[in-house]
Amino acid sequence: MASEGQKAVSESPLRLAIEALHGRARALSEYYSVYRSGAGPRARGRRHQRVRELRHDIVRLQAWTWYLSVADRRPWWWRALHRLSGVFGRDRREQAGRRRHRRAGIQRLSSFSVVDRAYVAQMEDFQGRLLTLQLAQQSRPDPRRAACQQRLEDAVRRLAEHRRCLAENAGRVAVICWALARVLRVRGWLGLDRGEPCVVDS
Amino acid sequence: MNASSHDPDTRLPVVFTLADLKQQLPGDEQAAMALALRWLESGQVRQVAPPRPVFIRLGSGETPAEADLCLALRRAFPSLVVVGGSALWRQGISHERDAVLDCAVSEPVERCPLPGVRLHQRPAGWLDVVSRTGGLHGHLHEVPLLSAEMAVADAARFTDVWVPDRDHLDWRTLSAERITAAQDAMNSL
Repeated sequence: MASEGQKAVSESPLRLAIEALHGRARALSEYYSVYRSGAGPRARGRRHQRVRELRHDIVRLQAWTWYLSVADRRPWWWRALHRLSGVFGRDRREQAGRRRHRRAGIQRLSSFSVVDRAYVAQMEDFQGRLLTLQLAQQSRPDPRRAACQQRLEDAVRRLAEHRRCLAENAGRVAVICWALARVLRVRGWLGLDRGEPCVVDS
Repeated sequence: MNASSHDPDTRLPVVFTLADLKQQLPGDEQAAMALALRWLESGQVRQVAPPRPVFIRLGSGETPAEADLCLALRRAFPSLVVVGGSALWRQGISHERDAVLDCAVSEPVERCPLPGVRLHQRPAGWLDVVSRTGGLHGHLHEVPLLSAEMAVADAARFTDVWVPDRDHLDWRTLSAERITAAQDAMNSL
């Protein structure tokens, strides 16, 4: 099942976006471990708040990953959610950056920003690789390295395209993340798998 | 910011990311990349841990200040912890000073070309186990240090970090019970 899920992901045109989301969720999980252990930067009173923010961001990333990873198969619940998010997300105004969450009293990123930052982080990771390659290429030219460089540049362009699509559908992202994050939480409470949502199916 | 400048811009901090550089050149990603490449070629800027997009301003052959080094490493690796003889020396347990700063990280490390530091990869969950068993003690420029007992147990478990000879350690300040508990925790990984 897992290998089928992974295969589906690797063949999907959304593969890059899904990889970016997985990578960002992994990175945030590292920060989560650091803050939970109390080893993070020592800002008084911020630790628990940061832990909650990170937990919330991670589950929204997992929710959007889940949505994208089944987009090729379009199960019934995906089609229903897609339609509903189009209706309810149409007039939502999502802004980049942090905003104060009324009930929790903490600063939270919008779902759009959480996902957008995942794409940006992946783009910058690729650009870091590009710089490393370009530097090596100048001292010792290698055609294999040039091919790799080309692939990375294509990947950066495709991620920029994903970012543009995301910005056009910011309201939809908010509704989908809100709904699927709750499903993932319930799955977590019931002890069902929530670590790899891309292999969870209808 | 003058994009044609050959010197790293002084408006950027000593440690900066590609995102910081892009903010200085809004809307022109290619210019930011070209500028970063030019600085890397000149040797005035180095990538902290290629390919991670974190940079440090550094003259060629120059060893960065410890505070800058710690900041650069923290930005590249959130799970950074000082381990081995470096942790023991900074807690006054070792009479022998470390030659390089030994640090452990849970993220994959390809290489770290910065002078004065050596990175060691630890398995996922290592930091969780260490913190749950009270294995962190104090900070070095905001980077947590392993407690003395955990530093000894970690060095024994992974055998990849430098620790001073037994004669150079102040055993009176080490608790045998806590070392056993730390060893049990390390063996659970």
